[in-house]
Amino acid sequence: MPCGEFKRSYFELMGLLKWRTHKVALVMSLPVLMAFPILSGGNVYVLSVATLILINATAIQGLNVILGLTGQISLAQGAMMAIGAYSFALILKFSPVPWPVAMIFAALVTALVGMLFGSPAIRIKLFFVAISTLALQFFVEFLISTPKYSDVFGGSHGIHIRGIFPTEHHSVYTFYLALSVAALATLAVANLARSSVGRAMKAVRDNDVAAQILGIDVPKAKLAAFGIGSFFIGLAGVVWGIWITQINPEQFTLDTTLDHYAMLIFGGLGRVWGPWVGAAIIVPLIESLKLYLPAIYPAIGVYLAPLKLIILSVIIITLLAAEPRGALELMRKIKEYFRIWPYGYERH
Amino acid sequence: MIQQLLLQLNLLSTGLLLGLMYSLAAMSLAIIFKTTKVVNFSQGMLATLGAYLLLLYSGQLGLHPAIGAPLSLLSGVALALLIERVILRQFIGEPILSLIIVTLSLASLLRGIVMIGWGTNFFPVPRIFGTVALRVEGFAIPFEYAVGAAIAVSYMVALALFYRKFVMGAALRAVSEDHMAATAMGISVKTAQAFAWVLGIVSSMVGGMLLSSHIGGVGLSLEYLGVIALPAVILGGLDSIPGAVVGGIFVGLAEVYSTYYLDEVFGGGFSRVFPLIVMLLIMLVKPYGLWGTERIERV
Amino acid sequence: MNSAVFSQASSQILLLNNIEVVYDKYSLAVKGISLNVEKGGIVGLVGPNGAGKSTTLKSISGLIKIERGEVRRGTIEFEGRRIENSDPEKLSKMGIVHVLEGRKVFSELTVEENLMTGLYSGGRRLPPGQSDFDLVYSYFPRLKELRRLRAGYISGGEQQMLVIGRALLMRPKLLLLDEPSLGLAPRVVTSIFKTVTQLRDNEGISIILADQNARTVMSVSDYVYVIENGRVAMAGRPHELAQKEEMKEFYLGLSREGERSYAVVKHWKIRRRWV
Repeated sequence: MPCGEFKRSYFELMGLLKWRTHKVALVMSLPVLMAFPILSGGNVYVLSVATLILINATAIQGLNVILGLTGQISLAQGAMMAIGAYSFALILKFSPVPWPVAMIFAALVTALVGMLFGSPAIRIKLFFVAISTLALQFFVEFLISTPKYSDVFGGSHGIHIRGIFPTEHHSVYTFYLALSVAALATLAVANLARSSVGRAMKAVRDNDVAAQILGIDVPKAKLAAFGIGSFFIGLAGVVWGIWITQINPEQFTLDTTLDHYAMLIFGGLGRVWGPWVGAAIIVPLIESLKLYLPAIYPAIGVYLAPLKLIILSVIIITLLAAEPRGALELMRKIKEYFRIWPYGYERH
Repeated sequence: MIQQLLLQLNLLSTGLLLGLMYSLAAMSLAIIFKTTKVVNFSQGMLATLGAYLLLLYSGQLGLHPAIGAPLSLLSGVALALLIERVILRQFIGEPILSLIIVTLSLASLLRGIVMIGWGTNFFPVPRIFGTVALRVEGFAIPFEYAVGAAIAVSYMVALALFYRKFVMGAALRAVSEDHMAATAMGISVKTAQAFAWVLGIVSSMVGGMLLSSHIGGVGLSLEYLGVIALPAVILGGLDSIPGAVVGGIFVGLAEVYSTYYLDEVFGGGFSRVFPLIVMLLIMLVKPYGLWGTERIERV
Repeated sequence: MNSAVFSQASSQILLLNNIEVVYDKYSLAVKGISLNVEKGGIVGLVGPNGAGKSTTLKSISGLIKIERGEVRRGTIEFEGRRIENSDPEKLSKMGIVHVLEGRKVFSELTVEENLMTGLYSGGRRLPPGQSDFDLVYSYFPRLKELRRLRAGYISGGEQQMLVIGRALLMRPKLLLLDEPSLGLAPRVVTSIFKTVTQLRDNEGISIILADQNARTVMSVSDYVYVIENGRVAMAGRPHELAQKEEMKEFYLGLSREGERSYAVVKHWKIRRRWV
């Protein structure tokens, strides 16, 4: 709790922007984010990395609801994004609805599928949800890559999403779309975490049997988590589709799940800002590796993909072993250590 | 009529034998789950790694399979010990959530290492037993299948005996039930869990070796063994060894029959997804499988 | 307390010297307990719930380590060797065997498989023969009849026999029994305590018996410690202790002046703690 600020009522304590630092950070970061296309000086590469960060942040925000808030697990990050992207493309292809409507519908489809495959969570424990969502991943991969259904899903070639934004401003427009979706998702999750539904989710995460005894509707909370989480993951998939314009099965594999877990765990589970921090650090890390390593050492090209896998999994394993609550918590601990140094409590 | 009968017989035997090979992977999951209460999501990659080890010794270093296979098993044991000590031991007593993520990441880590070592190519390997098959009039069983099945069955019997009759087996089951009471009996929880991990990892490696020999090559696609083993153990109920075998046979049969009858209808590759769909249905109807132990959970 | 009075240094198997036990680095469960166990003797620990009996036993067998506890001060000597904060597995190999409170049978295992776990610490891994269990069956013939049954399905008294039998197979030199009478019928309790004395007499096992059932403990013990609030409140031979007014009143349910009011009792108790 920062010094010199006091809350006089429950409503103040539950405020969205609780402390002065929050407000200052928001006021300082918003203009930077809004003006980023100008600040980047028309550099399309920088802008696309920024867009990638925002898309990932949205998807991880969805995972954060499932994993961070409710303590359930979903291993179908790639599949859910694929469902969002593909249903968006198909809705646009087969019906004349405007694209924002198609976007909402695509996200709703993802939410429904997420709830369906998350439903084993109601009756039984974590492993079964992990397995059922893993099955979803393979099922979706099968569906979108099999030649049999290529007239619908385009097989390994995928689907082209028709130009939604004018090509000359494509990267700027998609950046703003990604920014607004990410901001919306974050606001929604922040509000969710403060609401009774969010508190029910946290209770389920901490001990679902005890939560049930307290009268919390545990199945409802779990389903809601899968629904809301999948909704945002689907939205992220849609934005991804709009950004990349050509979607294909290779973009939505189990590796996506690994990426998202690394980012979420890095940022910190259950924190509203976790996804932003995780994505903003790990996406540029991976992208700069891709950019600079071949320049330094040209023969590395083939090894980039495995190297990425190794780096991400080592990040996940080390973080889970050292500080399961993420890098932010680690930083907080370090800060706390120096704040009271050298008068900290004696460590036995 | 005879033709039809022979076809059915062929499908049945192929499914049965393939299923017995899958049951090695399923048993590996069950062994680990029994003692540590963790579903090992890195199992498919560990099996693949086993196949690569065999490739290294008997394919690339040119050793005779009779020497290469035991050597790769030995390195498998060493590797399993290393993985247990360096990674898995850090997570004893951690929440299930962490362990799911850790085993998944372990799979990615190993995949990365394999990709650096061997690339993403498919390496053809000489079949351990050549192309010999047991032939009866119009009806053939590849030798690998027979050997795989024999290994799986004898392994199952050995495991069942081990868990029922051996002091070590009783100790492993004791650990899975109550850490405190097991420790009071002088059983080290760490040692027991390490033992279960190593036993499980090695058996999935054996499964990977047999499967690669059956496919005729080693590649990253072998990792699907880890996916296919999940429906098998879910059906059998996660902690039951005979259940894992029955589940494995079921998955093998489902794969063979759906390849023959359903792939045309639903598109190639459906046979790999079909067991997963059946698994989802089972999970909704009978969450603890057919033989699994239903445990009462307390706050 | 002055336990040194009765013990000869050579004949003692266990010596606790003013130990202090903390859980989770700060929670003080035992505040200074000293006790002495003679070779081939039965030492009784009596006291109310939460007095620190179980914690004392766990600190001897090393099991506090599992619950993130440690002996922070004081020493424990077993056969002249310092053993505080050792690994429980090592201690059980040395011959300290702990029978936990609440009859912790492995309920999925059969009676015989439960007994098999007792052979583990002796280094046995291979299948045992029937003769390995003869020792247990000679003390608890009932277990032989039940040996194929799952331990979860046998009665409470039989489970208690099973956990003691299981411990017996570990060839203990010092057996720690935690609340063996808990929730059992009086007749069963009597028979179990009878077996406990037989174990001492026939097998030469030294025993620490912690139980709330003070009267029975005093009837079988050679020396009794009364533990209250993490400290030794009284100690002595059973017949000496039985003469003490406090003992009679609080643990044996006897009183010279009839019933006292609760307020007086409470007062006495608060005073007693700081002696």
